[in-house]
Amino acid sequence: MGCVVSKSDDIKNENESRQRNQASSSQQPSSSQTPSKQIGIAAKDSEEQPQEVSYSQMRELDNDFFKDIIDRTAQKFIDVSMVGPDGKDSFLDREKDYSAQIKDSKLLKPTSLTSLPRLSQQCQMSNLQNLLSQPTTFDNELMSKYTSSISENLNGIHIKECGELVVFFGNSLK
Amino acid sequence: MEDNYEEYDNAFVGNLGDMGYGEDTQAAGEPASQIENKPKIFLMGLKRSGKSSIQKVVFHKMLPNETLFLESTSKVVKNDISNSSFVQFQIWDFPGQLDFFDPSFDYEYILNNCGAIVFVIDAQDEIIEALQKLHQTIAKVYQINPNIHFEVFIHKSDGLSDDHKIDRQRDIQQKTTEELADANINVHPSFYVTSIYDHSIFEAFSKVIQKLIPQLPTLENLLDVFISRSRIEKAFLVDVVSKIYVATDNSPVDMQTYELCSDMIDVVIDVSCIYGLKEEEEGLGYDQESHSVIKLNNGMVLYLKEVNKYLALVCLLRESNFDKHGLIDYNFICFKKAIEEVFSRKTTKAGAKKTIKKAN
Repeated sequence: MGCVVSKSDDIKNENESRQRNQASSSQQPSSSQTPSKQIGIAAKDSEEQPQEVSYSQMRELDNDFFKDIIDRTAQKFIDVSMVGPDGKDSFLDREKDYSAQIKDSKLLKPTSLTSLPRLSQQCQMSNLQNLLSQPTTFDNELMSKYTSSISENLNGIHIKECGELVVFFGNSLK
Repeated sequence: MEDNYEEYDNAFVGNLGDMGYGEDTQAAGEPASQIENKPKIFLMGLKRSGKSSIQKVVFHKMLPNETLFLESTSKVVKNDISNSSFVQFQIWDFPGQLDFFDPSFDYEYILNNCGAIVFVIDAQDEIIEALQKLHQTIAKVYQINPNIHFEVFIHKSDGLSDDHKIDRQRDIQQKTTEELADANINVHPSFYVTSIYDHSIFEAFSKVIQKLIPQLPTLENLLDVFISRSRIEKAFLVDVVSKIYVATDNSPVDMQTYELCSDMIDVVIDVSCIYGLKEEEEGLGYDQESHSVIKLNNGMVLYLKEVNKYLALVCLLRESNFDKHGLIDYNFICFKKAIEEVFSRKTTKAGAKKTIKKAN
């Protein structure tokens, strides 16, 4: 009771802890010893090496450049002879087709045209001069008839005295 | 129409002081080194063979009849031709009486950057003396710079019949070839029958200029593909100022077709100058909006489109093949972009080396 005794597990854990510390301490010097890389200075291994291009090589490059232009341009061109149908011939063909359709078709008069009332004898084209110069007897008789009818109906109107007319609004007045 | 070329009349610097020549001066605003780096074309030949007339008519728009009043050239005349964004060179007009190979003349120096020598022979004159000078020139120049192109213009052919033109060309060509073979000189000059009174001088100079364009094979290939896809009979890539064609497709060049295309440029430029320019505005009347379609009465169509500041594509096609001109316009846009790419890259010069860095 009250006695303190170290266990085997405690000893093992302590040993492992010491090993980790040693490992971390050994790593620190290597990282601190890494030389720093200066900005703007390329590494020696990746330095560019100058090369001379001879006249013949430059000519070859020029020829490749021009050949590329020719090839690309040739692909862009539209072959006019392959595009069809030819506009002019197409128009002529359409014209022929339309003419044939017109020739074969038969236009029929609609019945509604024949059902319209015909003008009176006095209003025909042969009597146009008279129509424009002065009113005809027909028109005078028609106007007289209508005037008499209107006058007769106006005379038939009688007004009766009914007193005041009262109108109620809404349900609140009930 | 105002010339778009700069011209300055200066004697060549070198050992010419003893011969009464003045000091050379460079073009305004352009460094001397830049001027000297441009390829040079030398116009050489006997006196009054037509050298100055050729230069005036082709590059300065002088009318052929006006060349009758030109004075004899007494000193080396240098013309700086900067007529396009990529073809820039100098034309040197040498007096006929000048002994190019005089010891006091530093000919080795000026031959270093020479691209071509155009030797002009008067077809209406006795040719013996001209041929002697031609052979002497080729023999000595070849020793200094074997890369120089030799071009022989059998000039003033407008006064000869067709048969006589052929005979004269054959005679000159045969004599020159035999003489060079005897001297063991491996040079093969090109021969052209020319006249300032027709388009032959422009065609001949076009061939000379094309030999100085390193991108020529690429341009020709692009033109071949373009015309085959667009059903076009013939196409020229033309300098609108001088009307020299810097490239054409591989189909044979017909003189009449070239004349038609050249005349179309004249029509377009003239109409643009009259109606396309604002009041008090100066210029060529040619810009990126320039394009034209001309229907001929023979069932053909001339089609012109602007490529860059100084170049135009002029095509000849059948009217029946022009019904889908929208697709042709699209193909032209692709062609134009390709041309821009081609000239965006500087070609390799002879003997040049370049150091590049490569990561291992």
